[in-house]
Amino acid sequence: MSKTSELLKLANHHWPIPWNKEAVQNTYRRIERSMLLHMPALISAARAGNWLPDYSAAAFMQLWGNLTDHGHAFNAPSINWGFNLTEPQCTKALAHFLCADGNAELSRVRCAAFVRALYRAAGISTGNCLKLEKVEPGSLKVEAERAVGKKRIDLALEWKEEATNGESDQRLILIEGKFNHHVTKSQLSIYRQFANRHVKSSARALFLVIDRMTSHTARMLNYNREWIPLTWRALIRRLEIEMASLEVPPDHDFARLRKTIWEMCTNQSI
Amino acid sequence: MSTVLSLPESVRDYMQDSGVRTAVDHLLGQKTKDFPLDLQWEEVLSFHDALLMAAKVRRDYIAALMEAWELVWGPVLKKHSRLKELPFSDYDPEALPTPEVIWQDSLYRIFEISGWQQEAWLYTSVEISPKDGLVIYIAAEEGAKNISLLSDTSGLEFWQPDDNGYWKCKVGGSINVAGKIALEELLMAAEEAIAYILKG
Repeated sequence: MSKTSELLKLANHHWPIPWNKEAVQNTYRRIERSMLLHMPALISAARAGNWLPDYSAAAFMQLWGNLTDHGHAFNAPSINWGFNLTEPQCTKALAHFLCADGNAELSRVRCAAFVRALYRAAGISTGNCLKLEKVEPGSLKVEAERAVGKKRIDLALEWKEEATNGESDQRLILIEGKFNHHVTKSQLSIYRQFANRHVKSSARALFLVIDRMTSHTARMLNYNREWIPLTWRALIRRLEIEMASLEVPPDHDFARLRKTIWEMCTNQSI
Repeated sequence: MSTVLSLPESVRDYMQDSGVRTAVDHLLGQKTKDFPLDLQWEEVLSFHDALLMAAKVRRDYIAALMEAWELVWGPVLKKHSRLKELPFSDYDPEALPTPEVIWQDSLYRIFEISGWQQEAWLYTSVEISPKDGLVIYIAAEEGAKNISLLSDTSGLEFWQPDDNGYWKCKVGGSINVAGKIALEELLMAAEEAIAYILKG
């Protein structure tokens, strides 16, 4: 008989394992006795030891940047005029600060941080994205409530990129922002068609900034795949980090607006 | 020697740094199913670290309130044998020391006052806020209808009526830059309130 068949025969054999309650109880008693014996030492060690994590504010800084910086939005009081800003007021105010009162270089660097923040907040690395590094002087235009047919897009950023061969390339970013409101059915496609008429697809980006993703918005985005969704809170978070990284000079009023936008989001917004 | 409450570094940061405060408030409002979709993989652990630190701030805040209560209310209440602390089973759920009640409201400790004509209760509470520092409250009620035993605060040096049937201490335990709170006046206030209620 081969070894294999011997083993199979053994395996098929019935191996009765009788239940031995006493053996189980004895084992448990031994463990329990040992536990009780060592319990005072364990309790004493637990009380003496510091079992809590050490506090470090660095954990917050990794997510939101330098919170001790006075220019950080979290350190600014939100705007409190006794009523909540409406969506158009909010985007107009944002456009105002991105324009930087006509200070071209400040406007460029704020917009550069803003655009980087849009991509990062959407979870996209900024490697192959539109950038405001080589903007043709005088070409950057920031417009709130830009007319698109009978509708108005919340925010449009447009500029010409300095090309190495001496030619200029038009760039366009459209941003539609929503706080607790649904995107209407035709809005996104109308704005995309508008962008399509103005610049080629590689020279444009369309962002939908929302309070939180709802099933309705997700369905709209399914039909409008060029639109990149992101949340306001993610945008503000990334904007703080990008502004610090590009060393954008602090501005108290701009910080107040960012804090206000942060607070306009619901608790469900992340 | 003057009595001083030293806030842990975490609570001091929370009270004195609005940036940290905004971050912590946001993190403590998150549900365990929430996740910021803009995060990259290399930031995931940072997110969980930040949640842990926010929980640490809340835990340390609770520890600071318990210490504050012991320092301010403890000495005067322990002097009176007529006061017997209620078990948690007799607490109103909104006064239990849950994370939510302590973080969003106050730390409450409730006592039964014996020797009164009817059943009577004494409510004490402490809370710390960035604006006011350490604030103490007191209330007392009797009978099934919860009639307040507190009349107006005229003649009292340290107390003013609060909107919720409590007395609120007028003097604050303001937080100094080192995160310390001097408790002398609050101790006197506690003595004054208890003497007023128990004599009634």
